[in-house]
Amino acid sequence: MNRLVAIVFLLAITVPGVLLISGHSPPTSDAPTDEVVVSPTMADVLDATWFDSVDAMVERRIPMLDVAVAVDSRVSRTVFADSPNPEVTIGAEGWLFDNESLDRACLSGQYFAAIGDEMRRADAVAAAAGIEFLYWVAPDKAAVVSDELSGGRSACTKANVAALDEHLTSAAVSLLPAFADHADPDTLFYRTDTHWNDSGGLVASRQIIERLAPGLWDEHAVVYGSRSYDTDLSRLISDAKTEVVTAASVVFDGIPLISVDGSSADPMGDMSRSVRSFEFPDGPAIEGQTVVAYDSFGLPQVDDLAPYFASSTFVYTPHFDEDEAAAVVGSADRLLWGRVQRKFIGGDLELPVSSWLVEAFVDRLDPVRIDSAELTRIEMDPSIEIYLVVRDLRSDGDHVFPPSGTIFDDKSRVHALRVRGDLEFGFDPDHFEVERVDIPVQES
Amino acid sequence: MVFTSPTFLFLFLPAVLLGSFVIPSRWRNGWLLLSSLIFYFWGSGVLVLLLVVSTITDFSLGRVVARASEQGNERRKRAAISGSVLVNLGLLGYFKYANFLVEQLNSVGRDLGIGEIAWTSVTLPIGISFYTFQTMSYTLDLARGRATPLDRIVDFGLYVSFFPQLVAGPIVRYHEISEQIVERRVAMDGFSAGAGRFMVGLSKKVIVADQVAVIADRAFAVDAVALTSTDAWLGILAYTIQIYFDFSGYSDMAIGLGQMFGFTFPENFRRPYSAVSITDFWRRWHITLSNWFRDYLFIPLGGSRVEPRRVYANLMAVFVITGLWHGANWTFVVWGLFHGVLLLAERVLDQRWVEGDAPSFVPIRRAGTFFLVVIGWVFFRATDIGHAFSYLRAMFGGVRAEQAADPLLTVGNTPLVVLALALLTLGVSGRWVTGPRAVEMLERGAPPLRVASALALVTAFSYALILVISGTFSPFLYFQF
Repeated sequence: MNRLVAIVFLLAITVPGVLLISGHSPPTSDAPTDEVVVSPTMADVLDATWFDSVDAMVERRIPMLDVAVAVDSRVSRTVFADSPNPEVTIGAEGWLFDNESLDRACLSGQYFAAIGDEMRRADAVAAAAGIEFLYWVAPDKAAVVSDELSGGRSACTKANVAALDEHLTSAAVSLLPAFADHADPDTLFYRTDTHWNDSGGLVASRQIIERLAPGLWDEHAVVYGSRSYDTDLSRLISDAKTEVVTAASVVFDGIPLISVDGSSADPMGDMSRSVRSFEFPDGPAIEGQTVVAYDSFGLPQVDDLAPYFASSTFVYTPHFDEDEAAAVVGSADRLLWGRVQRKFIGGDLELPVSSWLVEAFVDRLDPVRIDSAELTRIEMDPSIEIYLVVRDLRSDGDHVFPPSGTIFDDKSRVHALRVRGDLEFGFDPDHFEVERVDIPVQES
Repeated sequence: MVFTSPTFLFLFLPAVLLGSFVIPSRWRNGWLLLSSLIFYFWGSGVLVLLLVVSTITDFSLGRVVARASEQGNERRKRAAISGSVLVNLGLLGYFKYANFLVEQLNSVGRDLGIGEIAWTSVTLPIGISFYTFQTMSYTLDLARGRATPLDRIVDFGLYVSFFPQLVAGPIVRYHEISEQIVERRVAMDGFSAGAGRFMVGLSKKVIVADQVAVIADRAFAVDAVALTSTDAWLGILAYTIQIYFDFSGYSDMAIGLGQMFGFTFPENFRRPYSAVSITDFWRRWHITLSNWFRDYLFIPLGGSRVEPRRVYANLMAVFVITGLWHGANWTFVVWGLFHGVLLLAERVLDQRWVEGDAPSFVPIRRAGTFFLVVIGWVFFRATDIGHAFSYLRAMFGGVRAEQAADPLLTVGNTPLVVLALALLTLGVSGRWVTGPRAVEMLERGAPPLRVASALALVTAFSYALILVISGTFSPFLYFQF
């Protein structure tokens, strides 16, 4: 018996390697991974990362990878009634949840007050730059749909988004009531995807337009159809599904929405396009240049919102770094900024938003030159928090350092923006042109 | 490279096995040495040079020791032994403890306002605690006349760096393997037993240890003051299972690989959680480390033949050093002290506990020992002493559920089911669950039992490979020690 087992062992360790070496690997595109693997060559053998490259290549190109993932998935689901992927929680009746969206603790009011303070600073920067600023928090699926998840696993997600809603500033468009009051909230999210679907996006878009121009939203302009959508969470548990849901978009006078460069408005069809500009003078036309900075939750909203603006640019920020996004946003008369709940509460919100807005609108803030005595006074004033906009004279690019402070050592131009908080660092004004803008922040 | 990586399993191991069977026996050690150096270089790069330095030093000093012994030159012999100990402990001290020492000095310096030592952090070479102990055992065994020196540095290099036990043991004392290095026979039976043992080890590591690790990692990642008592207990029980299945699984794989190449490595575990006393526990847990300290530290200090007070002091010293051997952190020192104090208490209270054969109260003593071992693991796993004590407070108090962080919120069913099943195995007879016994059953059990064992082993191994390929495994715990 021992020998039979040994033969199984030898076959099990030999066959995959032989197949790999002889080129019998699954095509990269079929491998259930999200990275393209470049096979290392012997020419790079002296490179310190060569061995890592070999490991990565073997891990991703090993024959039967797709079979192993499928079997692992099946065993987890059928034997353990569990998710095979630690990033995904399986709920009742086929609902899947992204674990990142399930909050592990119900957070304190102090935590949300800090987020509120940051949004107040952002409001102040936008006001100083003379732009209209609105933002919204897209509630996570676990905070909305009726599946309560066993063990109260969605309780803190619900509690946290409600607490957050109470601490946001007047620039926030509160979406929670509309979702909570919806007759059938389960229809607003994909069952096996992280995101809300077109119907959920439509609820949010309606609230946003109503807030910008009360009474402007036209229910008759909404055109319904159907959409097939390959869902993300189902793929993560190796049980790929395509959901067919109601598609919704806003169409005025039968005129389809076409971007300035002639491409389709449907961002779901081409997610690689990070910036889309629209001109729609014949619609209800909210005037001015509107920039909408959105994340993946905003994808289905593009064709709901764009027809309401005379001129609009939609920036899909996950594809952008902060500098690039700031450059696009800088020309806006109106900035609409949407993020999913977990990005606010999970700690990786693109915060401080205020410093990002400083970078975007620095040329509109009209800073004034100050001398070292004035700088010293600012530094000593505990009520002033400083943002540094450091202009690299060689590249002429701006870099914003948030209030936590960053050491810099190049000749640069500095704006000191009065916000609030503690001054944490100093710098020598002899080597910089120092300017400041005094931005009062509304007390909470 | 780790045993659970696809590169090792599907490329490296088949290639080394093939080579060792087709290469003439006189070159076989050279082939295995070359393979072992590649194995180490793969994960550690130029740090392989330390291994080479340690090897060359002890090979040379071993010759000096042997010659001095022949000539009766005690002074020269002691000098050579001192050289070996200094070089190896010097390497270990610098690469493993220098960061910790500087950190402590800087902490004192800051408190006293006398500044800090400028210091660039030293990278810890993988397995240095294991291979330095092996190289020292060579010169020490030669000095004691327990073995004869090797003539070829290739043979000695293989003893030090043989890949199955290079990075996480078992720590093989030279006299245990000296003859096998020079001459050994690879038989089909040995190979088959080794393959079975490796399959058992891989399954323990991948199916059990890595699954329950999720629970332990999450429980120890949050601030312990926000843990409920239930979560804290689940976390430490998961770690208790994880560290045993991880480390003993690795040892099974190492021993199995050794058998495949014709070596017989010493056992490292003997159902440690069945121990009826702490003394008994240390006869069952990391046996090769205990044996090393017994032979090369405790006995030279006088062993049990000196007056009781001296024995107690020696035991405490051995346990503090054992703790520190596991890592440069006060938590390991406290863990060692904890076990040392318990062991002394047993010796003082009742000698029968030490022997582990007191006839009565076995289930209670087993449960009590297990409880104390679990408490000890809190210090072993915590990030610092403060964390350990706040975790213990959580275990015996904890916050109410509505005030708590919920680190196990999304942990899923699998780790909890595996943890429950693994805990159940602690109550099962040793002949069913220990690595060597399980493999023996394939050959010597009743026919239906043999078939059932083979099917269970093949099924577990197949599932382990599926998990390896699909990428749900973690690095071995003991690599950090």
